[in-house]
Amino acid sequence: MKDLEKIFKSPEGDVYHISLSEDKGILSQEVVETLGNVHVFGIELRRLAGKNTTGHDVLAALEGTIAELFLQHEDVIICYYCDFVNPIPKTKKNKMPPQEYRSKLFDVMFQRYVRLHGIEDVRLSVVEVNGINEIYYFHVIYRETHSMLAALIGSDIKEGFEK
Amino acid sequence: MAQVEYITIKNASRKVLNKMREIGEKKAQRLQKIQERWDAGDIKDVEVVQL
Repeated sequence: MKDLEKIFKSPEGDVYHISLSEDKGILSQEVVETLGNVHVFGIELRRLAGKNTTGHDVLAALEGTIAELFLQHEDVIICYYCDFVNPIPKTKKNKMPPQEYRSKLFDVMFQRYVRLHGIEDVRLSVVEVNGINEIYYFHVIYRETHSMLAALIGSDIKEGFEK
Repeated sequence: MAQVEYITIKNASRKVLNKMREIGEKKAQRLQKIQERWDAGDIKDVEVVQL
């Protein structure tokens, strides 16, 4: 299955890079074996230039790219790990950690896309991993038919990483 | 059935948190490499869409 990579240039001149590539590195060997023929794709998204607020046209283009890969292949689960390193331009310092901002935005994008396109059999699991001073977010997009596998990925984060 | 499910792992162990951090740092490194390739004009054969 081919990876997908695109660059979007906004009317304001900002440049965004998105790539979706097969990535089972986050999963334990046990889960990888259980997945069988189901492919797990990771999303990597970066703003390459500009600091303007990301507009709806850009968000729609990014949603469309993710949907393009997901909807064309029956045996795909998409995982999105929310980057906590790179800051979000034009947000107030200390207002919200970047990974939380990305998680909320991704959630909104998903809900908007499935509502606009009348998609009912696709689900999103948002996994929040809490420590004392740190929070990480991990999203899994899957079809209803893959509910068991998605649950396995979620529990793998909790239990597989313990091993 | 709700289309979005929220799962919270509370009081995650140090081992799990370290793994999550490691995954995030590796991802940040990959994103930085993409930035460096872009700055060097080295991203080719990628579809560019003007919105």
